[in-house]
Amino acid sequence: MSQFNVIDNANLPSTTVPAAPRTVEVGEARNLITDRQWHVTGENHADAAALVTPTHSGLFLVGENSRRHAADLRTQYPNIPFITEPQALRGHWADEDAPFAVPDGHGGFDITMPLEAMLDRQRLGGNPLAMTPTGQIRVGDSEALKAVIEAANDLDRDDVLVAVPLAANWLSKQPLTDQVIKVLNRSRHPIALTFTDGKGPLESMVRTRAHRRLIASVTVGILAYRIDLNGFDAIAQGALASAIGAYPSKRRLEPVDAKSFGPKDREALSPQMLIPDMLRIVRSTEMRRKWFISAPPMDCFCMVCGGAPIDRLHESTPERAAGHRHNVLSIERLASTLLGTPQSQRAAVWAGLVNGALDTYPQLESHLGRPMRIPNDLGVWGEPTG
Amino acid sequence: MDLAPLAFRRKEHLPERNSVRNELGRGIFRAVCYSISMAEIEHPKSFLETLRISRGVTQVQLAAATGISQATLSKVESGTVDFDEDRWAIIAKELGVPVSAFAGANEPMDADLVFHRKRKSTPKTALNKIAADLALTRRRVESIVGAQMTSLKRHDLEDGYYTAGEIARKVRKELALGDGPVSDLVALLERAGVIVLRWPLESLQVDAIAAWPSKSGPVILVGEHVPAERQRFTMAHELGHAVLHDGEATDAQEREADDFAAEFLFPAKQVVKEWVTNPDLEDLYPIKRKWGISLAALIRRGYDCNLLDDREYRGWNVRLSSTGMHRREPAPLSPENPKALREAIARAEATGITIELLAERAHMHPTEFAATFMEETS
Repeated sequence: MSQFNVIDNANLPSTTVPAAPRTVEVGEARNLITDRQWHVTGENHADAAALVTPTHSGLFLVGENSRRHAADLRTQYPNIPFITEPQALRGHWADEDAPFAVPDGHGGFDITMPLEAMLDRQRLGGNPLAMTPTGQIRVGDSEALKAVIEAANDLDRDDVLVAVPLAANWLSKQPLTDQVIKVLNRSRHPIALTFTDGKGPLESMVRTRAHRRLIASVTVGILAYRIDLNGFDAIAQGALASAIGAYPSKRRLEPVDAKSFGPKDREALSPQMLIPDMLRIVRSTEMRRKWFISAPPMDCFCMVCGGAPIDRLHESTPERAAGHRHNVLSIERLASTLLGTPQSQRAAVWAGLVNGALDTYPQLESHLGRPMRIPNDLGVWGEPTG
Repeated sequence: MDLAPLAFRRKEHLPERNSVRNELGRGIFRAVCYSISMAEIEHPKSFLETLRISRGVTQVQLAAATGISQATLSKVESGTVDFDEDRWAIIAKELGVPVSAFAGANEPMDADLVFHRKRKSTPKTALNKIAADLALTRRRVESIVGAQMTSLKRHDLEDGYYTAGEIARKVRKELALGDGPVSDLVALLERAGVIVLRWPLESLQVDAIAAWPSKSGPVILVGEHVPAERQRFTMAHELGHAVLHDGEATDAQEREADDFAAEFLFPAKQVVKEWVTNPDLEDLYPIKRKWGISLAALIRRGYDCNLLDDREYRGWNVRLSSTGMHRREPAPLSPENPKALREAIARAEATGITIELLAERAHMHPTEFAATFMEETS
């Protein structure tokens, strides 16, 4: 049965593909990351843990109390890996002399602790791998980028995941993207690659294409981290896995000094809904106001929505949480399709999903009685690679 | 053919009938960035050929003016035949140099790496003249100050492992610039052993020319027409070419030279420190003056450093162009003038060496020597 009553992506199976049982590969970063669908969670960590498939999923926890939450969840779900995100990714600017940092307990960061000790502290806290506490790397700060990789390469251990949070403009100029490829390819460890931007790091077609090229060219093992649906494209391009957030702030990193302002329109807080058949995320407000004005709303038959209209959710906390649960399930559905396929066939499967998504537009247009604009990223994903 | 006596002021030394200025017309100059490489230029092989091309005279024209057959001229230029003294004297008169200039005329001229900013429409004859001008100038300057040794080093981008911006930071370190602005870029380059001259390049539709001869330091000729705002960026761009490139310059290499110049003049870390949130035009003036870059370049820095988003960057550019500020910028900068050569000449004069002797060493008549190397620039 299709998930929606109006559209159907013919290439997206309606049920998840069962995966073989799998233990948490503690201490083996590359094995642990590979072929799992990771979810970047904040306030929704408990909901997400309850919904994901233990055999091929994992959670990154973000926030002040993430260590405590992760410890609780490990007790509750021993077969799911839980990793806490280092605070430096959100609050420290990396430079050549201080690429890594850990909280100093007084609201600041300690940059003097040796990297090895920083990583040991994470493992002692229960993390199944050690994610480098890398600060954000400003656009063009090549020295900081190289310092991160060189310092990590000095570590003789298998539990290291090198976090590389780059300003999104690294993707805006070809020589900068080329340099990222060259530098990352010197890494001995797998890399959690993410981009910082106040809005969507991969919003422009230039950046989306550059990201594709980067993922396809880096051969040391990439986890596309804190990303949107481009994470699935990354898997198709050869990434080990992706870590996608159920809501916008977990699908990107805000620059360290970004000032955030609450929306003027409370309705803008209504949840963004992932529509897996369309490979698209749309805020429920937008669907209410622009899509289903004169046509009946589309119904969703996922476990969370249970046949209710996809555009029904507003800004209240319970409704937002319901939207995020819907998204976790939708991510799992897409992930199952890709990760349940041998690596060599993933690009073809993804191309099929993209074609199927493009086919949903005429279906929706017929229902709405007006033309729809195809998003830029879907267009780029449909482009041939290599 | 009657070639009028050559006037040796730099702006007038081309025979009017054959001038490149006439060939190209007086189109509106636009700053554009296309480099040529040695592959595009036919490098003159002898002093005679270099001088002739620099004067904008073809073999046919010179043959007609001197009564020497073109075939003979061609053989002399290629070094297979030599003239007698009388014929050298005729040639010297027509090309406006002392006959002593042709002593050793068959010595090959060094092939220099040449980089410059030109329009796509710049004809090949103009490109050849540029190369000839540069080769002659370098030889003449060396006759005054000796072979220049430079403290600059060449750098390799290692197939993308280094960026041009990163190399710019390395060069800043090599030149001990610290984190601050380059107060006088011309003086800095001259201290580093670079020969800098302001040169009449407008008619050739180029902003600047640079070369790094294999046996001495770089030479940069900066167009006299280039406004102060653009002059520093242009020189830094040429410096980028000189330290980064040694092959055919591509469009990508032009962008690399731009990236080099931007980072060299105003390093990204300093941009982030000095930037004012949501700046007004007046907020940018002090930054422009302090770092010596145009408003247009400053706004581009803000964009490249993630301090302006797409919409803001577009808005600034519309503002600059709609108000004419991109042509005539407010808070203008003072031009920087080369001094090293004039100072070297003054030192030589102080030791009793006459201008006539210096001119002879440079294979020039004294009038042309004075006009070329001793004129005050604005």
